Amino acid sequence: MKLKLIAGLLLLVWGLSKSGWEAGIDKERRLIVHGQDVPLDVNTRDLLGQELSLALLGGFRGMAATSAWMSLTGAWENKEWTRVKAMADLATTIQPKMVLFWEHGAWHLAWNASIDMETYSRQANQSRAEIEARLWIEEGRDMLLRGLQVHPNKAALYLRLADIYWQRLGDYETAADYYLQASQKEGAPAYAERFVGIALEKAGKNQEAYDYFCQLWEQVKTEPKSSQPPWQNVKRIMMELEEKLQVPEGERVF
Amino acid sequence: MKGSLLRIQAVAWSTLMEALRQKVLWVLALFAVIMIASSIYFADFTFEREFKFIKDVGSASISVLGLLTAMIGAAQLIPTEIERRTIYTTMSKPVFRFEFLLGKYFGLLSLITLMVLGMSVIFFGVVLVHEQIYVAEITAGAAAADWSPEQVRMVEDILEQSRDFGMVQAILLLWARLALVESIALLLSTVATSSIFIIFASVVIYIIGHLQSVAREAWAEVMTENWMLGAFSAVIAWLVPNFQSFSIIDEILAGETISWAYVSQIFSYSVFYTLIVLLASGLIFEEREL
Repeated sequence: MKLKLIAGLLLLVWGLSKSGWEAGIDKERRLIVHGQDVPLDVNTRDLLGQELSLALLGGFRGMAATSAWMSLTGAWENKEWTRVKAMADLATTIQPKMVLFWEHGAWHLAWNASIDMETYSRQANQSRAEIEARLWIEEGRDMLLRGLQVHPNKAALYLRLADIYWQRLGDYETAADYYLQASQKEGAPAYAERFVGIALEKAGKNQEAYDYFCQLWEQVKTEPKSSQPPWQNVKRIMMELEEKLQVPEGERVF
Repeated sequence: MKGSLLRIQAVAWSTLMEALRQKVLWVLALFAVIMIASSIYFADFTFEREFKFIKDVGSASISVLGLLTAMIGAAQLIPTEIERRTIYTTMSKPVFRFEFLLGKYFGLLSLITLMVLGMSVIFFGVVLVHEQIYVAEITAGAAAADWSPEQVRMVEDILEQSRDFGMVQAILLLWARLALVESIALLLSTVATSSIFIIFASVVIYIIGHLQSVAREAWAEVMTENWMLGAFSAVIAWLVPNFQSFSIIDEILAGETISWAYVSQIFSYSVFYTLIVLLASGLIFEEREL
């Protein structure tokens, strides 16, 4: 009986002393999994619910996220957009660190779902179809904005958001802002920095676009890539802007 | 000391051999079938998604098969010995009870280690086969020197996914989790007599262990509203390991770079926890009526 008591005491002392160690491990885990360390508070129901749902998956979170994504793919093929959104939300909740889920989930909503509403809508009239389409675009945008809270440094998410503003919402100025943010992140494709100026020009911000391109051209003009088609296109736009803005001859780049 | 180690080694060896005679390693064949079947099933996706899915299936299969082995195996270690009365033969020899218990634990842990190693080899093999298929598709069999910059970039992207060193961290943590689960099942087997009860209780502790972090942070606040629920939460927080810390495995497999310092922190937590549980098991087993 004496040894059993000692064993019980040993487990209890260990149990009381391990809390600090566990708290340290959890703090870092939350930073990695959620992208932020938010201390658990029973009043913050969302986070508590998220932690509980993750916990209840009992160590098979990756597999559960994969299953949700497989289900999303099936729903996409059947054009069940509400289920697509539900599965994308589930996958991003279960495994928020998977950039692919945010990026592709938003693409499904802002492009596939909304274009389906516009093109093959079962709505009674065109206005109704456009409202539905707009709602899906906004769902895609909101998904990316939530994703950016977890991944503030992922160029791919800024690019997708810029594409939504450009291609789906026609808001070129905001698109330019997101292309600029994307271009400043690691791993951004080369076209991101050029698209900032193009988007500004499309937004009618000719002076800002010209000033931006002048800065950009200054950086690349001596490099071999400046003679390649994408940069020749930039050169053409700059020449057009010089005409539009009536830049004096002596101040022109070309 | 040396004599004690030799006795533990002898018990461990006989435990491992007995398990091997029962053809427990057939589980590797089952794992190979799961991996190959899933890799064929996921072949229609882009390489990024396919590698993620294969890694998730691989990790989940290693976890399930390993947990089953750890829980069922450990639940049978002591009760079966008592039931068959073979424990009396062993105890009649100059072997201390604690040595017998450790020998049993390390025998089963050796089996689990062999299984995890075998499954990891199959897992990496499937990933590498898919890597080669993708590289061959992209480069169309051309020599590396003739690849275009775009082909080089795509091959680099594939290799980043397939030769991710983080997978070693994931396997290491999977193994540490299994070692901890086995020690808990062994602790239960020193107090309980029914294997089914031990397996059931191990599963419950494993599940509750994933909620331990919530209980640890909430028990004091809950206590003010409902003392019974608060006390229950406190018991979970103090007596159950934090299995949720191992959920980092999913992030590693998703391509997140995790520092070795953090991995070793979780690894040493589980090793230390295992040692404490083994010590407590030994103390309880010393007084157990056989």
